Amino acid sequence: MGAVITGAAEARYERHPPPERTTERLIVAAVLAALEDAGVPPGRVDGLGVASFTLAPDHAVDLAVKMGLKLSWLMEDTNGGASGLNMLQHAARAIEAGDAETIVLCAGDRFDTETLHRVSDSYNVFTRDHLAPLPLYGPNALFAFVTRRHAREHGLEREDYACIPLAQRRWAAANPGAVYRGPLTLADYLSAPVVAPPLRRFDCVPVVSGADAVVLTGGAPAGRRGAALLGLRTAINPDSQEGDGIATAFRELGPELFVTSGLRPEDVDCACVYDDYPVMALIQAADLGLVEDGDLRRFLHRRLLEERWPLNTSGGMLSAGQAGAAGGLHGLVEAVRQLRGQAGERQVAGAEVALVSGYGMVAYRHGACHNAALLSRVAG
Amino acid sequence: MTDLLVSSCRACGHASFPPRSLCPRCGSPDLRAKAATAGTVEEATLRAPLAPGSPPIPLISVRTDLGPVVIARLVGAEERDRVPAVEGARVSLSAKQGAPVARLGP
Repeated sequence: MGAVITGAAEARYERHPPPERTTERLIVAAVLAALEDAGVPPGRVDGLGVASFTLAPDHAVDLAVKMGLKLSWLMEDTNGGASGLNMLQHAARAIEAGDAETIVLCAGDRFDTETLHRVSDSYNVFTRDHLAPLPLYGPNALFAFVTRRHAREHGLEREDYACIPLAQRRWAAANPGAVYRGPLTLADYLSAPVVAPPLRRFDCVPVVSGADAVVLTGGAPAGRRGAALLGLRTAINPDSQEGDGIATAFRELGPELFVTSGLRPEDVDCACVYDDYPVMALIQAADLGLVEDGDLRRFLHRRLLEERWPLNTSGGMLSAGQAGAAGGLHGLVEAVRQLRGQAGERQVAGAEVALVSGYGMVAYRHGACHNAALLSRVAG
Repeated sequence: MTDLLVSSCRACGHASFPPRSLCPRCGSPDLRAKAATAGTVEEATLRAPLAPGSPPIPLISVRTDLGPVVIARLVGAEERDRVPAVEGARVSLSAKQGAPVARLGP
């Protein structure tokens, strides 16, 4: 693949944005920051991809109009946690095919309580008609079920799943963009308010407002570092929602991704997996080959907590916050920052290869969309 | 309360919930509605209320005898004390405004 990401940025995540920070303004702020990071003037952009739950009634084209972008390629993605890599998959092909030369991919949402409830209750027809009337109050209870199944199958306890939010909070302390940076102890985790047993507060991604954006071109300009896309695999609706949610498509997708990219899991220097819940981050890490010996408990306690292996170095969404559809780009932005040496105090020394995964759209019982990508550092 | 309707494939017999447009197993469009009346609890949880002071919502994942797994609200006496002790229990199923409702017992 020829596509290289040469810029990445985030519009500041926050819990309670002032009224003037609308979804549109958040996304535009992220786009401008990513373009500045890439050293590309807005006038050179000829491709735009947008994902948002709250941009309506505007669409991608309206954003182009409002930013004055003249485009030869446009897409709008509705796949939530998988939207970032889904857009990247299409954008990379558009660049290879010559449909566009400079593409910006962006995603963002502004949420207040009322908007959040409206979005989660009318997520799709299955949710509106069969889950919202229960009431369900969003997907937490569904992932309580997934976590119970996973814990039963692997003999894991709450102290084991705790390693993910605890390790990530330590990374978040070095990320000024993370909304939650204060220390988090095992006692805090275990005694946090109950959401839906076995899930408590720190198992559930905190909802924030914010936006992310990346800039993609056909190569890194001279003198600029970039992140080259080595491979990307997607699996949509692998089980028609009739599987158990813990044997995911990542199990097939992971090995395929490494083969097509010509790499092995041990080549990965840092990874950003989609952490809407600790169980899903763990499943992705394991199925994508990061748990060398298959020993989940050892991976959690030794590799992540003790050795601080760089998984979700932004703090992940569990500490940085989940800004709606921006969650689908959050891991990619962090991976690009690591590969370009821009991660500040949390920089992984010598990071050359990064793994990013996306997961999302809970169609009824668990996510229907899965994707993963490998990127490598390139010097322009 | 109404019947809990799943879509059942006339071609291969596979049942799905929520109802589908085509059978996910064989692709046939020839689906009919069938009532799922009973099942077994696979997982249970107690969703915290959004408004402080309101009671939590007992929710369960049920493997219906027809095959599909449904997410249901558990109703009936003392369910709050019995979550997740109800895992493995038999429940009878119906629906309220399209959402599955379960009661302990046959």
